[in-house]
Amino acid sequence: MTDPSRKDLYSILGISPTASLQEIKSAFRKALKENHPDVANGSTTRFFDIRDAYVTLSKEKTREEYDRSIHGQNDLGLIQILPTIYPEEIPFGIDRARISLHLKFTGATEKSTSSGQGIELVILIDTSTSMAGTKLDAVKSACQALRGGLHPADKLTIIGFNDFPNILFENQDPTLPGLGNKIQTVQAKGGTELSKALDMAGQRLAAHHRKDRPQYIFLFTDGKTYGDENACLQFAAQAAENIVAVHCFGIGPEWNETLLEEISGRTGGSTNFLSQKQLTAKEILRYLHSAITRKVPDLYLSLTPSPESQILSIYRLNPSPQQIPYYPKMVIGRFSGERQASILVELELNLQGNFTSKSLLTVSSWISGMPSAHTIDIPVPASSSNSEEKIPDETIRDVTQKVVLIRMQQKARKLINKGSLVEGKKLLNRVAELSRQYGHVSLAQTIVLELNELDASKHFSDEGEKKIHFGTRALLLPDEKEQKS
Amino acid sequence: MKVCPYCATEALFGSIYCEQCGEALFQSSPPEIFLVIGSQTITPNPSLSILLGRDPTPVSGSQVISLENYSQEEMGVSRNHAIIFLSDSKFFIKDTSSTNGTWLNMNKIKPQEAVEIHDNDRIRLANFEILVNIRKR
Repeated sequence: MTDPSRKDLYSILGISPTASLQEIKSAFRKALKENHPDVANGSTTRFFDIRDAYVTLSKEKTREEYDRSIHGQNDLGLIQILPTIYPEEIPFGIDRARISLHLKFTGATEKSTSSGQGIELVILIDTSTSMAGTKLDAVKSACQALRGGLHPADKLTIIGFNDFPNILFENQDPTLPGLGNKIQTVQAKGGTELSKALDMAGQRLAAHHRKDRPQYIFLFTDGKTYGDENACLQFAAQAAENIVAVHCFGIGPEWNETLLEEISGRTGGSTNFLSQKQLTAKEILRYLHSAITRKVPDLYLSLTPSPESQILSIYRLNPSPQQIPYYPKMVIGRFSGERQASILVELELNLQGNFTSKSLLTVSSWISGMPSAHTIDIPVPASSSNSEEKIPDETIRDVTQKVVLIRMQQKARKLINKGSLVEGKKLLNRVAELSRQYGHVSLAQTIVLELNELDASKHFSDEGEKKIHFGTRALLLPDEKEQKS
Repeated sequence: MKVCPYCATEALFGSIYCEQCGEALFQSSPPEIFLVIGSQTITPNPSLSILLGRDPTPVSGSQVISLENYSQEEMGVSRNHAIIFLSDSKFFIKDTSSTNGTWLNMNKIKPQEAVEIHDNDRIRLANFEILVNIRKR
């Protein structure tokens, strides 16, 4: 026999979990009439199921108990999705439109998917030749700082990698005193083979996997990996499946920000640029605390566009703003009751020919360990006879303004690196001009310095490109508005 | 399709900023302006230039506020005294070479020179005072 409490009482009566008492009563009467044993096609089992469902749901106390039993310990497992769309209306006769959709996720989730089991962290340290000297020393002290931020119940693995990965120590209590010396023995030599290192980290995490213990990879690298980019992305897909969040820390000017943003974006992690002076213990611990949460589950998102719409881009705004790649199932990141999450989705809608969908996009969101997803349909903007475009909502305006700046500087840097110096500089100059206009004074200054550098040497300064990219991306941070000077 | 006013690149309907040059592609509505004259408040159309004077000569694309009807203090106000106009979401005033001059918050402004005006500014045309209220939308 199955446990009777596992049957969905609401679906037995054909009502939603939010139904009122009145709705429950009338649904019960209707179901009784249709399923009474004396009626043709009636069934005794169904009849009793219906009666039991009614008895439980018609009394407030027993209904509450039932609701709690299906949501585990927590009666507030649901995510709320708040959409803001622009434009809200599309004039007749317009057959292609760009749609900006801001999605905010809120929800109370006190239930944790982890208990006192701690977390597991694998640190991957790039030990290629270029890391030798101050960079490697800085990463070593960062590792020592990270140990200080972890608990005895946590597990720490450190893997150095160049042409091959090399496990320094594995699955250890991070507070053990001997580990510090082991970290100091790391030496730099060889190339950067990222996918081998990631695979090794993935294998070790899979070997130690315990339900209820969140797993993380922190990657410190200064170099580009060559030829194994696809293998890295395959790893990321697997990591997303296994709920391993990959947080990347790029040092210096050489590393591949596009690849690392894709790996981290796929797994609910983040990519961060560390200039050498930012590799301080304090800064590293700040990253650790924003990346790692012990009591908090992951927020998942699935976006299903209708045949008429196509997703152009997705930017995660909170937590850790960055572009994230589109996949049918995405990990947004760690999510707690107080924290909110938000993303910007840009779509192109094609209304040519006879389109049939009323829906633009189906958004579904859930939390790991929670039974139900919240799903909403974003409708296609209404047709309107008013041909005037309205002013976008302030949130959407602000976010798209910044996202366009991010794309402009990416394009400008690409042009300059391809040798189209004049065109690239013109575009970059425009980014500086707009940044100043919008009040992002220090970003504007950074760009102007780089433009001067380009005039003088035809190249960016050492960390110039990274400063521009991450400086622009940082505009999306919620509470760190720059002071106007 | 719409066309970027800055770089003339075409953009899809619904685009908020030009992908090419970052220019805003939406029209923000102009701020509102109220002119308080004595106990009366006038609400001119902010998109049209406002011609102030004793009996200003109408010009296309502008609206006329004749001060003759308000009080005896229009004495000294020239026929065409000053103009208030909107530019880039800001209001400006320009003295149109009046006989007795225009003051903004007690400071005399130069003829034919546009000066930005703000909420709660006091304009004086000869001896005729107008209080300005501007509200952003």
